[in-house]
Amino acid sequence: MSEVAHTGTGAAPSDMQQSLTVMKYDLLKHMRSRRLLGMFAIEAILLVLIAGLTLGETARPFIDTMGNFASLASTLVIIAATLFAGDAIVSEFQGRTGYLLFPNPIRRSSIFMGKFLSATLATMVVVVIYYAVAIGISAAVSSNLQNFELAFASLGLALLYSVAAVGLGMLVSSFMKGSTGSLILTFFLLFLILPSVDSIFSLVDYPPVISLTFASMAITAVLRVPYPPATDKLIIPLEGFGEFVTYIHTPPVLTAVTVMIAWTLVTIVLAYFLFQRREMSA
Amino acid sequence: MEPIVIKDLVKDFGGFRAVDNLSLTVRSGTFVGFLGPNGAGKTTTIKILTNMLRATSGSAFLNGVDVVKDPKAAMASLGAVVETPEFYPYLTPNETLAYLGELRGMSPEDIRTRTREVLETVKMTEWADKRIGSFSKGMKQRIAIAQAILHRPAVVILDEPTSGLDPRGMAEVRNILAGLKKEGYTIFMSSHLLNEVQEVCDEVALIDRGKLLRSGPVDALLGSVNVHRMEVRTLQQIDGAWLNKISQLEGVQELRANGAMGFSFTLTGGDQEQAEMLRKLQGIELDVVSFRESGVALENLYLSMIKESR
Repeated sequence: MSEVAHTGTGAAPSDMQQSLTVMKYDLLKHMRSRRLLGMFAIEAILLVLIAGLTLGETARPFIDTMGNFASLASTLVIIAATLFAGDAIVSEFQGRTGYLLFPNPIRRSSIFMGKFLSATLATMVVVVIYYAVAIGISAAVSSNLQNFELAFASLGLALLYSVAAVGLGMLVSSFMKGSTGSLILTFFLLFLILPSVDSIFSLVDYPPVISLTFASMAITAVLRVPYPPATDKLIIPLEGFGEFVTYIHTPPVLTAVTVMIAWTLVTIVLAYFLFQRREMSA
Repeated sequence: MEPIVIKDLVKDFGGFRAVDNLSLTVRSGTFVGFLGPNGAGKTTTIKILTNMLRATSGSAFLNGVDVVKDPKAAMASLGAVVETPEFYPYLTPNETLAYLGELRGMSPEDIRTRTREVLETVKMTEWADKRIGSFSKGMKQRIAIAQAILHRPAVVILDEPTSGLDPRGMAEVRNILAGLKKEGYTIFMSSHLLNEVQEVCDEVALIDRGKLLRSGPVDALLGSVNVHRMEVRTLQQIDGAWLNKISQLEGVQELRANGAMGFSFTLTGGDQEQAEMLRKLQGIELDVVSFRESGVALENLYLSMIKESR
């Protein structure tokens, strides 16, 4: 063996280039770990189920049929965000792959950005395919195509919800110690804990404005014409017990958009801060 | 410019001081062994050097670049294997090296060429396109060394590279390290396997409880060792009478029987005294089959230094 020049690489690529490299290999992970494939399977099952139920009915207006599909879009987003972002950070620590990645000429911010982009892109692909098929089926079986454009407004909100949900997943995975716990917490926060808090607000006449899952209700609401009021009072007479008063809250679109953007920014900043501070000590 | 310079480095974990005002310099082209018992602060120091832990105070430089202030620039000249790294199980060695090569700014052509070379160096060419998920620990360790030298770094840091390997795996890794030494890499390697260090390193740095005890060329440190444990094998059966005879020889201390046909003792002095002792043993008509220092010389130094520091 002969002596060679040992100089290292010299100048490392720009932070953005490195983020894209991390994103590329992270997407490969999603594809090869079968998470993306599993996600497509869940998506196909949901589409077949809803299509089966819809096709059996008398033809209805496009936005009604599309509303059926959109009602499960947020569930799809929750599952996708959990699978793609729920352990994005923690896996580097628990799986010890950080020992391979961190001693490289790359900033933590580039690693974080690459992982965020990959999780967001994977989630968005799932959502876009779901909407493409749903819009196609709804257009084919509906009695009229009035308010067709509202499907795209719903898609836009679903995509925005995807980004915010991925942000929450990144935040959870930046402080949890184990991948499984991180995945479970992300899923239950979006599927159970936040919606449970939202439901408590049905007892009062003001809405849970800052809740992310409450904001996600706009994904379905936007397909209703006219758009539902912010708060609807519902009085249910209970024989022998008087009246039960409940409130149905619907987030206005602008509020929903603002809340989703705010959740994205806050979770991403917090997640990055925690990731930046986290040491590979174990 | 020295490849590694550590100045007054301190790392506290809560109330525990893992690294205590450590200062150390690694010269270009040397293979330095970083020795110390478990919990001495070796891995903590290496993790600070490799951007995995933040120092409480002090500084560390790689090729003149402050690891704390500009880790991205500092890591550009570094190749590292820290603890036993895990790989992305869904990637093959070729893909893993391509990933790290891209992050390090290597051109596609350079990545291809160097991937071929380093996989050949660590004898993993035939596994280049198999997913790492199914690899044994020894195979992963070889890939870890391959990625560390992929970009021909100015300095290679290895943290117990043979840890957890079976004897065959350890021998293979040691051969790879000897090859890297011939290629002129500057290597800083932590280990508590003293025979390994004595075999491959030019210099050693001994630490305990986060403090540097001693550092310098292996030969110079070994030369300073004055107490040796000698092991003797004989043709005769060593019974009580023989032990009594041997114990009366001048210079024999802490005599112990080693099986039926052997014994060991402590001898103060260097080569001269050892030669003289061999003559004395033959002088009492003992048929000596072998006469050698027990274990490795470095071990004696290491143990005495650790003992002194506690």
